[in-house]
Amino acid sequence: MNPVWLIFRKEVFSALRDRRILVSTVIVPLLVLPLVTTLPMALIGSKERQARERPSSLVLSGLKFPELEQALRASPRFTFITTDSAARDIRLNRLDAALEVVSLPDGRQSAQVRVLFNATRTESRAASDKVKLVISDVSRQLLARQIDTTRVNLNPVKTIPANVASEREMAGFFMGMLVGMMAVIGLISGGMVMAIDCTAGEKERRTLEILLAAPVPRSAIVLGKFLATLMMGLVSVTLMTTGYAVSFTIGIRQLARGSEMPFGPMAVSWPAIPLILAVMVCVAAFIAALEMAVSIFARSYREAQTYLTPLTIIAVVPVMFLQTLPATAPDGLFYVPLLNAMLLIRELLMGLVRLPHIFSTVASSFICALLALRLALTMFRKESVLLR
Amino acid sequence: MIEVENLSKKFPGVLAVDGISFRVNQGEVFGLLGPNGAGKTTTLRMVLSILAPSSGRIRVDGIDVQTAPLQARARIGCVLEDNGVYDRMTAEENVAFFGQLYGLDRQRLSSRIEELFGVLEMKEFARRRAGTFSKGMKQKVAVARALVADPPVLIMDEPTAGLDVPTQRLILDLLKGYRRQGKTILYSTHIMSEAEDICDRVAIIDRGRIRAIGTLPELKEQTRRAHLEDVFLQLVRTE
Repeated sequence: MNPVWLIFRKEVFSALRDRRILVSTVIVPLLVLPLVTTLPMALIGSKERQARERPSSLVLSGLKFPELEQALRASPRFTFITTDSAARDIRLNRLDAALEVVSLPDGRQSAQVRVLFNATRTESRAASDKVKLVISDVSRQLLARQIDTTRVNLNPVKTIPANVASEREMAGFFMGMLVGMMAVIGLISGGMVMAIDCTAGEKERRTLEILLAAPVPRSAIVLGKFLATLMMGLVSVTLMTTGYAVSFTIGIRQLARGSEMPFGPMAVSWPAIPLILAVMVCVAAFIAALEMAVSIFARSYREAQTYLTPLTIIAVVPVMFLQTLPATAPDGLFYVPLLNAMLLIRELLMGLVRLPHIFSTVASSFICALLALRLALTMFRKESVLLR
Repeated sequence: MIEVENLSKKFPGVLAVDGISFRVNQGEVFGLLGPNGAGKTTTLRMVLSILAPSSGRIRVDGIDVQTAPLQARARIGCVLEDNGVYDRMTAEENVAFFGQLYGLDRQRLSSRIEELFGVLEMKEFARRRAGTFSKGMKQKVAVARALVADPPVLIMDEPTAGLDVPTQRLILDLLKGYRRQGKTILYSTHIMSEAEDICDRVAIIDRGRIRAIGTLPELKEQTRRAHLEDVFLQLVRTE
C-alpha cells in the first residue's frame, strides 16, 4: 500500500477518535459558528420589526395642539396612557415615548414639541421614529393650509432611487463578504487542530521518532499529513457552509425579516459552484501546508497554538479591508493570498464571473500552497526542528 | 550486520559522538553500555538515519545508511527509548500500521500479528486502545511493532526500562530466540545485569567515545574486575 495513503489514513483515523479534533472540525463549524453569528443578527432584526409593528405606548402633555393630537390619536401605531413622570416611566421601560408641546405655531414662529425617549431601547427608539413621522405629516398639512397649493409645489424635487445592482447582486455583495470571510476562517480553524495534532502533537506524544525510523520517505510523511490536514479543513468548511445554509433556511431568515441586511437569494449559478470549490481547494492547500510548516517547529500542542493564533488574526485583516472595497476590486488584489479568495467568492456570489480574477486567484493560491508545502518538507528534514 | 566507522555527531556546542567504530555480527547481541548522555541514543538515531552523521560511515547489511536510508531502514526493526505507541489506536492497529509501512501483505501481517501477540501474551488487550495501557503493555506493543516485519537487524534502546520482572524476562527471552535465528541485534542499556544476561559483546561508551569493546570475559580480564558493574565504573571513571 502507498505510504502516503497509509499515513493519511492513520491521521484521519486517529483524528476521528480525538474529541478535541471532532469538536473543532465538526461541532464548532456545523453548529456553534452559524448559531453564534446568525442568531444574534436574526434576533436583533426580529426585535426591531416587532418594535415597529407593535403599537407604542405614548404620553401627551403640555399645551393643546389639536391638529397634532388628532393625527396621533388617529394612528393605530400608538396607545395612550397617563403618568405623573414620563421620564421616569421611560427609564423604567413602562412607557415607550412621551410628547410635550412646549409652544404652538404662531405666525413665523415654529411650534416646539419635545419628544422624550430612551435611545438605548429598541422599542423607545422605534416609538420616537413613529412620532417624528406623524409630526412631519402634520407640519406639511399646516404648511399646505397657509399657502395656495394649486400655485406652489411643496416638493419641487423628487428623488427616484434606481439601484442598478439586482437584489441578487446586493445579497451577493453583503453575504459574499460574510461567506468569504467565514470560509477562510473556517479553513484556518478547521485545519489548525489537525495540523498541530499530526506535527507538534506527535512530537509531544513522542510518536514522531518511530515514524521517522520506518522505511518511508520524509516526503511521504509530509504529504500524508498534509492531505489529512487539507481534508479536515475542507470537511470543516463544508460543514460550516451546511450549518449556515440550514440556519438561514430554517427560520433565521424569517426571524431576520425587516433587518437591514439583504438576506435575499444569491446569484449562485451552477458554473460558479465548481469554481468556488476549486478556489477553496487551492486556498485550503495553502493554509494546511502553512499550518503544518509552522506547527512542526513547536515542541508541544500549546506552543503550536501560540504560533498559529496570529495566523487567524492576519487572515481577518483582509476582511476589514474588504469592507471598504467596491464590488469590482482592483485586479492586483486578486494576487494577494487569502484576500483574493474572499474577493473572488464575493464576485462569484454576485453572479460576476471574471476569468482573469479566477486565474490570478487560483494561480496565486496554488503557488503559495506549493511554497508552503516545500517549507513544511524543509522543516521535516531539519534535525534541529524534529528533535527539538 | 551493522558496521560503524569513525562515526561522529556534532550538535551546536556539543560533540555528542566522537569517532566511534564497532561492528555487530549476524546472530550477535551487541550491547552499547553507557551512562545517561553518553551518546548511545544519538548513535542509534544515526544508524536509523533519523540523524545524519557529521562524519563517518554506517552500513546495515552492506547498505550505506546515508546513501540508501530507505533500503537500510527496511532491514531494521527498532524499539526506541520512548515507546512511540499511538494512544488512539488499538495494540493490533499500532502493529498493523507499521507492518504495512514495511510492505507486509494482509495475509503475512495477520499471521505475524497472531504469532507475536501469542508469544508476547498480548491477545487479551489486542483490540483495546493503547491510551489505557500500562507501561509494560505499551512496551510489548513496541516490541511487537519492531518484530512484525521480521527484519534481519534489530535496534533496541533500553527496551526493558521500567518494566516488571516477568515482562523483562519475556522480552529478553524473545530476543534470545531471535538471536538464535541469526538476527543482528544492537542493544543499548544501562542495566548491567541485563547486559550480562543478553549481550555477546559490549562497547562501553562515555562522553561520545568508546572506552572499551569486547566480550564480557575480555572486559573483566582487561580491567581485573569480576562484575560488569565494576568494569563499567572503572572505565567510565578512568577519564
